[in-house]
Amino acid sequence: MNDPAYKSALEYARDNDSLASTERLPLRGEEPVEHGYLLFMPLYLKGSPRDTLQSRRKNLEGFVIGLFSITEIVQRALNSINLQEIDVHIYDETASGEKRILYQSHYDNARERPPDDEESSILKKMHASELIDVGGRSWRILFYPTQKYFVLHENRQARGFLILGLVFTSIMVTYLLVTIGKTTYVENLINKRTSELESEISNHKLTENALQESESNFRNIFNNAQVGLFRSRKNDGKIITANTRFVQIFNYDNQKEVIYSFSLPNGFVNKEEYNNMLNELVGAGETKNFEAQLYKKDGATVWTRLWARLYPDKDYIEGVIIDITEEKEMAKEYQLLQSQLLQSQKLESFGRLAGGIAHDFNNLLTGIIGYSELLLNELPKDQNAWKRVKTIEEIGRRAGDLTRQLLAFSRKQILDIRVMNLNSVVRNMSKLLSRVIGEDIVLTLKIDNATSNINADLSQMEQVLMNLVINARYAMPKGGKLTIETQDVMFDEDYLQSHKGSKVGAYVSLSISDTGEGMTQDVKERIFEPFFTTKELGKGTGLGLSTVFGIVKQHNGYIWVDSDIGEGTTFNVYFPATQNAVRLAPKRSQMKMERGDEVILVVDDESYIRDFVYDTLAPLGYEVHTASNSDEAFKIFGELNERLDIILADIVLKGINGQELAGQIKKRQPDVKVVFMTGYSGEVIDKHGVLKSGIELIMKPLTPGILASKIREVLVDEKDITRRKPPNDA
Amino acid sequence: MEEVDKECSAKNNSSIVDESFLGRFLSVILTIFIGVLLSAALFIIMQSWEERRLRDDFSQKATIYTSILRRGISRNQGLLRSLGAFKSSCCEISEGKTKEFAGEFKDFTSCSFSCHTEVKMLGWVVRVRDPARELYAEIARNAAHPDFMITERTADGELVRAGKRDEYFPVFFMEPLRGMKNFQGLIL
Repeated sequence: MNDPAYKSALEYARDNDSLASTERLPLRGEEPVEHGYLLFMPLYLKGSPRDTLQSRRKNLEGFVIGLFSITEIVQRALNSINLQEIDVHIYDETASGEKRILYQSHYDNARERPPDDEESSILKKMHASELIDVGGRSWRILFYPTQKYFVLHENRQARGFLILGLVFTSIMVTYLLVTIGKTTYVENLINKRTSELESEISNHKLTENALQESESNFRNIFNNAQVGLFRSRKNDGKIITANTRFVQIFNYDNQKEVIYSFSLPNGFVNKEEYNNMLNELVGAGETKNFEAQLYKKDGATVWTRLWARLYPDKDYIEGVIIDITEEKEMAKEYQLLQSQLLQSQKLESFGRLAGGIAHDFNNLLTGIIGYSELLLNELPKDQNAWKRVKTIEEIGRRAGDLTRQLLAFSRKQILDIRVMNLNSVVRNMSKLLSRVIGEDIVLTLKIDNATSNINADLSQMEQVLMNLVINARYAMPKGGKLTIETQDVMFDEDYLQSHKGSKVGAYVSLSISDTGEGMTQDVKERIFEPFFTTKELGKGTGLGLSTVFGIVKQHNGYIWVDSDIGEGTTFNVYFPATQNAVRLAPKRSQMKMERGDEVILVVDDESYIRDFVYDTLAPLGYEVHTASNSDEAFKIFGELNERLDIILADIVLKGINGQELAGQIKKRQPDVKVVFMTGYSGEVIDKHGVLKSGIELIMKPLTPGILASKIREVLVDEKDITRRKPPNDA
Repeated sequence: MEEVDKECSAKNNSSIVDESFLGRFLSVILTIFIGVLLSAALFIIMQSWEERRLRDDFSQKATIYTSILRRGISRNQGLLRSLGAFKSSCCEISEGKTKEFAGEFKDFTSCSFSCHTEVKMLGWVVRVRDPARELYAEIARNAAHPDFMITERTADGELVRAGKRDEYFPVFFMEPLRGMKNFQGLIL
C-alpha cells in the first residue's frame, strides 16, 4: 500500500471485508476529461477466519480490483431516462477539493451551478439531492432543472387560465359595455319615446277630452232629443240602445229596463205591421214614416211613426220614433171637427137656404095671409067665399109655420130671452105632452126641484120639448116608456174630452129618453139635417129635430143623442145655467086694428106688399105713402117736408137697403120712427137671436092685425114718452 | 305648476340616469375586479399545482435516475464480487497452475468488458510478502507476463522497481493489458 489514493481504499476494504472505492481517478487527461474510480474487494485465505480486524488483516490474500468510468456509468444511467433538461452533478462527499467533482453535466452551459451557492428560489425549490454509497464513499447526486426544462415545462396551463380568465373578463366587460351601450341607447330611445309618448298622451288626452266633450255633446243630443232614438238587433228586434225620449214614449223607468224588456216584435200591437216593416227594411234598406201602434210598459198603446234603417253588415236596425198619439187624436178630432164643420157648414147652408126661402116665402105669405084676412073682414061669414078664403088663410098660416121652423133651424129667429126654469116648462107642458104621446106610452118625469134657471125663449123651449117628445113617440109605435128628466150638470175637463166642442161650466140638462127601437149610426149622423126623416112619406116634414138643433144652438146649448138599436134613444139637451132669478114675461097686448092719422112711408120692392100695407093702414086713417126702393123713398120723404112720422121698410131692398135708408132719413129728421119688415131676421138680430137695440121689427108674413097694432104700438110709445103728441095733432 | 312638474321630472330622470350609470359601471367594475381576481386566483392555484407537479415530476425523475445509477454501480460491484468468487474458487497461486489461472481470468473478464463498457479494467492484486517477492514475480513472468516486475511510481510519475517492503500489493493479473500495461506489477 504505497499510493495514498489507493491505500485508504485498500485498508478500508481489508479491515471491513467490504468493497472500497478510491476517490476519482483520471481516465483521460485531455478534454473531455474522464474520471473513474477503483473498486477493491478483499480476498481472504480460504477457510481463514475474518471476523475480527486482526484476522482480516492477517488472512488477507489480496484484492480483486475493478476500474470503472464514472462518466460512462452516469451516461449509461442517463440513457435509461431522459434527463436532458436536468443537470446532474455528482460529488464525492468523502473527497475534498477538485476531487469532489465526479461528474457534471452542462446542458445549460450558460450557467454553472455550484451546489450550495446562489440559487433562485425556484431553483432551490426544484433541485433534488440523493446520496449513494459507493465502496465506502458517499456520492451526492444533485439534480438541477435547466432553463430549457422550465421552458419545456412552462406553466402554460396556469397562464392559459389566467389569459382565459382575463379574456373572459374582457369579453364580459365588453359584453357589459356593449349591453350598457345598448341599454343607454335603448334608454335614450325609451326616454325619447317616453317624451314623445307623453306628448302623444298629452295630445291624446286633449283629443280624448275633445272626444269626450263631443261624445258628451252627442250623448246629450242623443238623450235630450225630442224624438225616440234606438238601435235594435235585426234577428229578434231586441233593443240595444235607446235614448231618454224612447224610454218616455213607452213609459219605462230607464234605458236598462227598455234594453231588458222591450223588443220591437212584442211591442207592435199588430204583428203583421212589424213583419211589413221588416220586409220593407230588408227590401229597401230603410223605411220612412211608418206608422204603427205599439204597446207601452203598462199595456197601454201608443201611436208611433218610425224611420228606420237596416245595416245588413252590422245586423242591426237604427231608427227614430216619435209619439204621434196626440197627433192621431188631433187628427181624429180634426176629422171630427172637420166632420162637424162640414155638418155645420151643411146646416149653415141649409139655414141660409131656409132663410132665403123664408124671406121670399114670407113675402108671398104676407100677400096670401094679409089679403085673406082683409077679405075675411069684408066677406060675411056665412058665405062659401068666406070659408074658402078662411081655408086659404089657414094654409097660409101653416106655410108660415114651416117658414118659422126653417128660421128656427137656421137660428135666425128673434128670441125673447128671459130667465126661466125648465122644470116649469116641463110641468106646464106635461098634460099636453101626455095627450100628444098617447095612452100606450108611459110618461115619467124625473124633475130635480133644485134645477138651476136658464136664459131662454119660453116658446122655443116649448118647441124643443114638444118636438123631442113627438120624435120619441114616433120611435115607440107599439108603446113604451118616455122619461123626461131635468138636472143640473157640470161640464169639467174630463167631460169635455168625451164631448168635443162643449165648454166648461154649469148646465141644466133636459133628457128625453124612450124605449124605442133606437137608431143606427148613419141615422144618428143625419138626424139633425133638415128634411131628413125616417118617417113614411107625407108623415113628417123632417124639420122637427133640425128645429130643435137650431133652437138649442141659438141658446148656446148642446144636444147629444145616445142611441143603440134595440135599446132606445136618449136626447140630452144642455143649456147654460144662470144664477139669475126667474123673470115673468109681460103679457102680450091685444092685437087691435086701432086707427091713426100719422104719415107712414112704406118701402118695399114687392108691389103686393106695398099694396097690402096701404090697404090695411089707409082705411085706418093713416096717410100712407109707398115707395118701391130707397131713391123713391128719399124723393117722397123730401116731398113730405119732415111730416113723416114713421117709415115701414123692408130690410132687404135693391140698392140702398132698408137700414141705410132709415139711417139717412133719421139724420134729416131724427124723430122719425122706423119699423122694419122682413121675412128673414138675420140682418137685425145678434148671434144670440136678440133683436138689435133701437130696432122695431115686424116679421113677415104680415097680417092686418099685427101690422096695425105694431104701427100703433110704436107710434103710441113714442108719443107717450117723447113727443106726447096726441093722434089727432096731425 | 306644469313647469315645476317638468323640473321634478327632469331631476328624477337625471337621478335615475346617474344611479343607472353608476349601477351599470359598478357592474363593469365588479366584473373586472371579480374576473381579474378569479383569473389571478386560478392562475396562482394552477401555477402552484403546476409547480408541485413539476417538482414531483422532477423528484420522481431524480429518484428514478438515482435508482438507475445505484443499480449500475451495484452491478459493477456485483461484477467485482463475481470476480472475487471466481478467484476464490481457483487454486492457490503456484507455478504450475498460475498460467492456467491467467487464461481463465482473461476469459472471465473479457465477457464483462463486452457487456459493461464502463468497466475499464479488472485485475487481481496479490498480497506478496517480501520473501516471496521474486517467487511471485517469477510465477507471473512464467504464466503470462515475461517482463513482469513489481514496480512503484516515483514522485515524478516514473515507474521504477519497487523498493523493499514487508509486503507488497502488486497488480498480479489485469485485463485488458492494452493501455494499462503500466499497472502490471505496480504496487498499490
